[in-house]
Amino acid sequence: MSVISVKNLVKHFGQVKAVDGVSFEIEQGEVFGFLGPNGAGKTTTIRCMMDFIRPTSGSIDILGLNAQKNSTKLKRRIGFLSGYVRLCSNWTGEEHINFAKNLNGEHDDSTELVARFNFDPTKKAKSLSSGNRQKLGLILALFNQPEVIIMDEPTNALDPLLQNEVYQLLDEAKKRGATVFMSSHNLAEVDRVCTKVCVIKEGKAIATESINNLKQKRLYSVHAHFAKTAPTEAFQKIGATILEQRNDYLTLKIKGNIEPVIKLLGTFPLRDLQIQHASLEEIFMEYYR
Amino acid sequence: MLDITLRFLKDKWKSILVYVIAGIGFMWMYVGMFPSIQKQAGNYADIAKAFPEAMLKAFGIQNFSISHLENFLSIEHFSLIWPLMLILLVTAFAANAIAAEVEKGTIELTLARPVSRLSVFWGKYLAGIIALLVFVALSIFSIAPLAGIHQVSYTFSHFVTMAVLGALFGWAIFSCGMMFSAFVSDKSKVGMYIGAVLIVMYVLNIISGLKESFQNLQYFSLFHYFTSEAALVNNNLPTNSVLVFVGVAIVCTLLAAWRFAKRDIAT
Repeated sequence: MSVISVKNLVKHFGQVKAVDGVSFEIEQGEVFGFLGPNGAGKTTTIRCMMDFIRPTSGSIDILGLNAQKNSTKLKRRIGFLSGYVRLCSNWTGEEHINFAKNLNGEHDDSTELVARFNFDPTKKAKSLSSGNRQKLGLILALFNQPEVIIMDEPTNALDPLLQNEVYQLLDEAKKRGATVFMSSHNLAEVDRVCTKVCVIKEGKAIATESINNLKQKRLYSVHAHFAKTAPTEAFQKIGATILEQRNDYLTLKIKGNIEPVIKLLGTFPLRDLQIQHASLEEIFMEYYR
Repeated sequence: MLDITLRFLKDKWKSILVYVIAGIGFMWMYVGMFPSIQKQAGNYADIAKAFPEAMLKAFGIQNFSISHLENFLSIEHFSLIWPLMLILLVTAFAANAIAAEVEKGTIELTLARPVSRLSVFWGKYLAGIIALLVFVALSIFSIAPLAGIHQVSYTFSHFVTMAVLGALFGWAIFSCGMMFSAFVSDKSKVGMYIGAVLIVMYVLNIISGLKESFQNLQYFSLFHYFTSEAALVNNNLPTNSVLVFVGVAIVCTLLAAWRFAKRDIAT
């Protein structure tokens, strides 16, 4: 059974279709990346999952329960981090943590998390830097050992050391069986942490695949340095995309079978040639465009 | 729910304190002034006769007399200043309870936890009612020590009636504020809407006294039912005032609770 199941989720704000038929399933222990450009519908989907906003149609089930009808029950088992951590400016970090513990304090890892993030809980929220606000947001999301972790850009504003700390925490959560749903713009982070991703564009899910499958997409970059003028037209005729062009130099992007390109390259005198599998970033950019 | 109530009260205790101090301060000033004013009661009554009846009615004054402390306070304090303080306090509380938290996004801190929206609503509602009762009780019952200090005689039961009337009036305004707060996502809009509604009601109450044909307009104004003179001078709590305030409070509260439970929390 899926831990998170989103089926045909639609959310309209008046005439604006923020989310338009998104579906995905997440199994237990998966770290699921939710990717897309700004305004694609990532945050709207997350807010529907948290029952902050109500879907126009479609369903969201988390841990086998409808996320709207059983919202209160589910939040006992969900850790949530907002994309922009909102805090009460006059409360200290400790007051935030105590408030959350009073409402949902079956487990309490807050002391350990405060130490791991090197966070000073005595300071008022209004004096916290964006990084420290993010730390507090993470502590509030994770202190209760949630079974499901929903995070909107979890490493936003954190330095590389703390980003690694977050990745470790997510690894530990995964090991204890937690399921993680996270949106991110950081593709290196997605590559490092996620097992499966969903790419969303203009409110629609355009791909849901495992990271390994994505990496095996047949997308290549070809950097060719010719002995004479680069034969641009010949490569365009066989469907290659020209990314960069100088007198004797071409950068090509090849989707699908690379064999015709290799054959064509063999007909021209070359000074240098480099063929690479596209990076995860280049693959995502393909979806984003 | 109680955690939410206590947290909200802890955040707002300074505001409550300021309003209570102001309420007691005004009461002290009027009680302190009363002995010298009382000596001139006849002159003031003559001056009052020169004012148009509608103007006196607009301030809730039916019979101008300052021979007793209750008369004096109902005219000077409870006709304008005290209800104004009450309105400002409860409107601010209502606006901060929901709309301000939605506007700032801090409502997520609570909604991400296992508490139902109705628990959040009632938690904040209860905090507002407590603030209202604290203000009403301390600002009105401060009469006991203040009258003692200035050796002015008063009838305590009349002030109890005034406190009940004030609490009911405040409850109606607070519930109305909570309703606006549950519908909008902007704190300033709550103040704007409640201000507009109360100004219209105030104007209706005034123009209802200007011409006989407008008389029925008074029934659409909450100020018409805020009969401070009847409560404080005659120790009378009119049934229609109680029914209107309780009715408005219940209808607005139910609408607010329903809306908050159903609405999108979009920040």
